[in-house]
Amino acid sequence: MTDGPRKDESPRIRLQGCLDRTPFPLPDDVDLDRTAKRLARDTEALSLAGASVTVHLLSSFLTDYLVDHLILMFARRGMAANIRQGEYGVIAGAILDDANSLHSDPPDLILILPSFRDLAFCPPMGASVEQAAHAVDQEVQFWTNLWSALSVPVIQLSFDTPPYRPLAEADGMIPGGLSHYARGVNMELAAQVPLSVTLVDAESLARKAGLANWHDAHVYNLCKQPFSMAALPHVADALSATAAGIRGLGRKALVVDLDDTLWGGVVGDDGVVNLELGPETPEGEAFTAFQMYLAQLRQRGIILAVCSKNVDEVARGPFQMHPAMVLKEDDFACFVANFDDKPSNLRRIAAELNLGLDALVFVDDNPVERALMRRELPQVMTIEMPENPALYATAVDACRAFPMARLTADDLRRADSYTARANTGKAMAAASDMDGFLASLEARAIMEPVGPGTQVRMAQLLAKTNQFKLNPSVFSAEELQDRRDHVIALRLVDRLQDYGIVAVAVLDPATDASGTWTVCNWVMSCRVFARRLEFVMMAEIVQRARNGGAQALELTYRPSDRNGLIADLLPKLGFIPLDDDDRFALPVQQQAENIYSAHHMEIVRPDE
Amino acid sequence: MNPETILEKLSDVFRDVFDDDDLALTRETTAADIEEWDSLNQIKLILGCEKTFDLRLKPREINSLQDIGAMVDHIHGLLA
Repeated sequence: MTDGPRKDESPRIRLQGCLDRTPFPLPDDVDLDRTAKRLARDTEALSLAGASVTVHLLSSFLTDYLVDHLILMFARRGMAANIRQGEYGVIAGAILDDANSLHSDPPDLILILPSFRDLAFCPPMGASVEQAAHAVDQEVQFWTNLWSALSVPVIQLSFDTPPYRPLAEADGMIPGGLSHYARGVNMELAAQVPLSVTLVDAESLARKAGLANWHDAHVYNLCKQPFSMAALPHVADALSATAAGIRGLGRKALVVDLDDTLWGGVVGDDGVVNLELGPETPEGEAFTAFQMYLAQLRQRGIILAVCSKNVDEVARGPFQMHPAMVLKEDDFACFVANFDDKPSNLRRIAAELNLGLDALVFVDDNPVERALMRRELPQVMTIEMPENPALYATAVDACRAFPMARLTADDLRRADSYTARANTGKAMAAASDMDGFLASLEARAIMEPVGPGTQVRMAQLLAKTNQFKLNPSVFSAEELQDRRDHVIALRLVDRLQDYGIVAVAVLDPATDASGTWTVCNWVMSCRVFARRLEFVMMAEIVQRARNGGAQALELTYRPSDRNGLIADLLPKLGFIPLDDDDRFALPVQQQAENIYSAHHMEIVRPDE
Repeated sequence: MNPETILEKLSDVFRDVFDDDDLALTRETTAADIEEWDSLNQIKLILGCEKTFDLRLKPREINSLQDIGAMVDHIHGLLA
């Protein structure tokens, strides 16, 4: 049978057998009913899960099915939970009753699980803003009063929004709407929550579970459990992760592999320039996104470490040389690249960081390395990584490895750039005109030479662009290499992101005494329209032509059903149609310097 | 689906709910034969049947059934 170990095995094997059914992250459709029930009944195996934690459950709905799942999920986070269920449907009554075991025999932790049905001060549908705010105050005061009567840590589910909306779209938008009210109460609860209480975001859980699983009217009618059975593992997981955080069992460091984890490809085989990383390819973009997620984890205080099977200096190459690396060498507290087995290296990393193995998370694209890690060091949280790098960040995120109730100054200590970024963000939010907005983006146009790392993207941009394109002519990467002195390519970077190479123009110098240069083709990515990048490019084209002694520029514009915007643009750039159907010309020497002004953007020329 | 197949699939639902792979149902099995058959497990059985046979069961109709044979016939009737 596949649901767990046999009953005649040792308690430790029985526990491990149950935990093996609960990988990180939990699959969306995981069915753990039998496993949860089995572990809940097996006190001998359960006692080996970790320190014992007494949990008192207060809920306004049926929690009998949830209890088994809580036990399993607490065990998965290193806690042997002893769960006491309060009387069904009684929350306030239990807290206010001095004789209740909450007070006479205090648990280690209280879980409070209300639902939107418990909102007690809902404003009438036609309520004013003031009336609704007053209702929110009353509701929040009710809860802060209850919390003040409790002396042990509390985890409380925030209010979910109801499955029906009598006010239709307005239900979430106007003061008298119930959805609007539930959200308002949640915001205010979060603002007033004391240190002893941690809120779990019910709306986020509901989104994850899907509406049909979160609000299951059929199940609710049968047994007063609001969500479907399928949602149980995920609700229990969120609560147990939060409990782990409160009890100091959250993970503290994330150890990553490099090849095919931080970038696509094998640096030792493929070389730094051929790695998939950065906005030029879909795969590269996915690895960039993952690095950005890890950078955010680091910013909130999670320690990063590298564990790679590589020669040390080869492994460091991309950090030093690849332009698209988001993470830098000094983002990692520990950098281990050698050919020892990874469990030994993780022991080394744990020792160096002065952390327990149970504080580590291991991220590796290789299933063999993961299987070895799970077998050798089950204390380490080994994440089941998806094959598609586009899903890496959400897979790590879904593990809830780093629960957090509050962001402290300490967490952010190493985040040097935080304040500076916040300030530029204000400038951007405040900008109300186009010039101000563009200036606030702090864009840089970087002129890129044709080279091994760029020519493929340039050829691809010339071939794939449809809208901003003069004519159908294309150039292979090799042709671009041959013409490299007359190719202008621009990479756009601003405070939001690196867009990669977004514009390419190919020039043909004059072959006779007329001094007429040809713009063979010119393309720009539609992602950067409205950034006035066409003027930056034009200035660059004119300057190149002028430096080469050109008298005039000519180009061929071949209208298609997609590139109509070129027709409007050419006159703005100073081009004049020639008698010949689709030829346009521009006398470069008479062109005023400032017509293509690009004051909103810094121009960077790497070779200067 | 014939009654024999329904009984087989029903047995799987019961094994799952009661976490007992050796559990064997006959048409004569009643709630009294299975120790853990309480109201909570009854709901799990209803939900399990609904999923397995892709139908909706009315709790009142289910609760009035005397034994597994009656349940098989009830499901058989709903699927017909």
